[in-house]
Amino acid sequence: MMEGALKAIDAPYVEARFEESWYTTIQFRGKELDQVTTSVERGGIIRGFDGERYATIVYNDPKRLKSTKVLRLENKKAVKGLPPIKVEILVEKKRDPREVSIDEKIELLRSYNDIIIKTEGITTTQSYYYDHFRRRYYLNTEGRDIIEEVAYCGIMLSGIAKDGMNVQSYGKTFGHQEGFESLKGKEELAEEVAAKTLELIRAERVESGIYDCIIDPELAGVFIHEAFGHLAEADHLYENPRLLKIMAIGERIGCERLSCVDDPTLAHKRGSYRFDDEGVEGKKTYLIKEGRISSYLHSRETATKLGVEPTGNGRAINYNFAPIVRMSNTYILPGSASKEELFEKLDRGLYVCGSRGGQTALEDFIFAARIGYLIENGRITRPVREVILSGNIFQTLRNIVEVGNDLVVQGGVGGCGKDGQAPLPVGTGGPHLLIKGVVIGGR
Amino acid sequence: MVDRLTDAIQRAGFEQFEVFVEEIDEDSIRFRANRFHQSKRRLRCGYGVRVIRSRRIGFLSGTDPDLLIDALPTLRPTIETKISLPPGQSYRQVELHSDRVRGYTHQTLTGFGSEVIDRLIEIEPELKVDAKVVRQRKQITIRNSNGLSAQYDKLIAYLWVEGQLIHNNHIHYIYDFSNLSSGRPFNSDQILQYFQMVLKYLRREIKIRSGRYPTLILPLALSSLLSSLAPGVSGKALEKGYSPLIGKVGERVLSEKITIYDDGLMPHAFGSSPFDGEGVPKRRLTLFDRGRFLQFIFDLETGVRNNAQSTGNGQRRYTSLPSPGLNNLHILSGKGDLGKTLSNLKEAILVVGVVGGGHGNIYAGDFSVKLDLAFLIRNGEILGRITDVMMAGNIYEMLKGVVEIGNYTKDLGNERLPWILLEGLNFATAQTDPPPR
Repeated sequence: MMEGALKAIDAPYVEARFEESWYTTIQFRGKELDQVTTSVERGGIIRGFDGERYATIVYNDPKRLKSTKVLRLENKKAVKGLPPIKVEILVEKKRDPREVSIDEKIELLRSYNDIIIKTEGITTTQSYYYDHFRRRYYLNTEGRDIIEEVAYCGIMLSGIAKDGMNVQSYGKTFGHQEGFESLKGKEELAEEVAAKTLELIRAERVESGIYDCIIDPELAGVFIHEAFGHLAEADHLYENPRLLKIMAIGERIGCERLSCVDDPTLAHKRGSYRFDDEGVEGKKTYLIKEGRISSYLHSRETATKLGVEPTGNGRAINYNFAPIVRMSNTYILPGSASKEELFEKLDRGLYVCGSRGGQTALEDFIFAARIGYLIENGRITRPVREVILSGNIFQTLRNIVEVGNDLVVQGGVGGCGKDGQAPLPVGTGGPHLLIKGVVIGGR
Repeated sequence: MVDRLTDAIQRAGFEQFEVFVEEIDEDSIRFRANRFHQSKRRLRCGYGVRVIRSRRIGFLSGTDPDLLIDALPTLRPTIETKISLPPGQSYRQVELHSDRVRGYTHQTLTGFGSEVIDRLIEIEPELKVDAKVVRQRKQITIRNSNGLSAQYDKLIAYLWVEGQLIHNNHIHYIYDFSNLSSGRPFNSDQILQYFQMVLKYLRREIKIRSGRYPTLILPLALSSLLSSLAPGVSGKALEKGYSPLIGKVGERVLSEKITIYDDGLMPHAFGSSPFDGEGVPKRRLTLFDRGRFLQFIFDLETGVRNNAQSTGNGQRRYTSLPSPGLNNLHILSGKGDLGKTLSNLKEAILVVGVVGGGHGNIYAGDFSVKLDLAFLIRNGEILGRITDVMMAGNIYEMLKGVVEIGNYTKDLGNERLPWILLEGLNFATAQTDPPPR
């Protein structure tokens, strides 16, 4: 079937991906089980490239493909290729969520949800379980023939509290590609969700202004993903000489203690894979090395245009989309300072924790913390809410003055969004960071 | 295929069942950095199966009906429910087609994109323009055990254009959207005029101090902020007790200048159709009438749980159960003339685009966004673009403070929004020096 698919497009280079996916989602809202869905998807995408342009077909039913006219790309420019390969990467049974009964999944989620909803002061909850097993068949005209399976499972726990028009929520998400067993034993996280929700409903809004901040590893991960990772994706860069100049390799962008990598080869993390969706093997790429821009992330196309090797970052969320340049597991390497040493350096400011997500428009970024704490005279005094950080990426990276030694790579059930493709499974991580002069948009 | 699936479910002996089928045939063209980059054809089809036994729901979805039929014996309903699926009925006609759009070919779509890009780089050669032109045909079929068998076909088309300009080592974005679904002859003039207006002031950068400023918000930016409104009007938030609008039905919660509809029947809008995702007729709902909150939105499930009827807001893809969602949000236009209003402003911020809508505490209606594209107005003149500024507020408080509304609405596909002028919003900036006089 895959060989036949390659004939649907007449172009110098054609690739076909076919995916089979099994999904389970379970959701509690308050005390009640609100959603249990199972899904089996089958679909494919065929893409031709002539060095300049793509032609793409997405389908569910291969029979419809036969009745579709063959697409032609006129340009016959050669496309730089990779050698043939035949490889099969399978998920071990112990990490396959399809081996676990739906009842067991519901009961695990219920046990965490109960901890939150039974806490006095909690109005409702939103507790969500998700798993996804995917088998992907990849074939291209270079003779790269790859079957790769991945299996994700994760949980998101949220508490919601209401006091008049004031409604607050706090959430925590976890899970990688480590199997269903890895989701067990997280009762402490459920207790934390309940406690922090109540802390938030009593917290005051942060005063907007400029703060020196210590950010926790969860937020540090989202920060580097949003603030620099997207900027290093070469599809924004390769057609834009002026932007390439701003983002020149070797340019100093932060202090010497700052290094950041993108690494899909980490074992069983949320953003891990062996081959990307263009049949290119993933590898560890330094984006920032000792404060200087070290590399960009590439698809086949951007690598060819900029005359470098692809980095294995051509990814798609599923068969419905063509691959574009995306991150995998992106994290700041740990420095030498302990968390205590960071706090010793901050007399007055904010300790900012957790992430509700973020967004960038290249050099501008914004991201929302789950909760903040005022630091006065070097001590945490009280919690504050609505802590939204924003700024110019280059300025903010330069303002990172200290890097902690406590790396955490975060997974969960969410992911990254770009060009209408969301959520893409990614890992984000870093240690505690001390950043000077962050704009906080409270009220 | 639908018949075979329906027969198999019938034989499985559920008390109630529903089959939801979504078919998509879409052509899209993408331009990158001023050049044609990709053509794409999507031929998608998916099936969602909802069954009810002993007042419990089970749900399965997939792309291959044979696999779903095989999985039916293992489908165990677990979610408590009291709903009855709707009976067969007649629906209102909704304008969802245009013969002209039906005739659009790849060449037509490519032509629209090329025309816009050529004209934009003519006025600003340094612009790098990305564009996407899409035409999508969608067919929805619903059948259920209560005799409902309904289908609609709809055709939408749109163009999204985004220009990037680097000035003083700053990256600036300008973007616009055009709903082409009605089939009116394509006219790139409006996009061009909008880019011209922005480009005129883009290179002049101005710093402001933190504080509260009168604020004029244009429709694209308003759309981002309104993502904080939807959770509040949802019947789910009412049922679970976390909507800030609980106990406020009939109360004036917004400015009396504000009337907001959710209109599921609006011609050629993306969220329009004769019925929702569970076969309930869509309609035009008044959510806020001259500031007074009138009603929540419901699907069948949240309707029953709140002692109300579904409002035709059961939204879904084939992959999910329905949940209450807005169809097409429409804020009624006012009388304001943009030029006149701007010329009367002493000192104000004109907000064109924001980054980060939906990232604040949306349950409470809070937002905190970075200004992506905004200008300082002084004595009726645009002084220049302001940078590195955040804007924060609460959607309910913000809409309480509306002092003027524009006399037209922009068609954003599933929203029709005017510009609004507010008495004040809070802005935070790293700037400590006084702004230039």
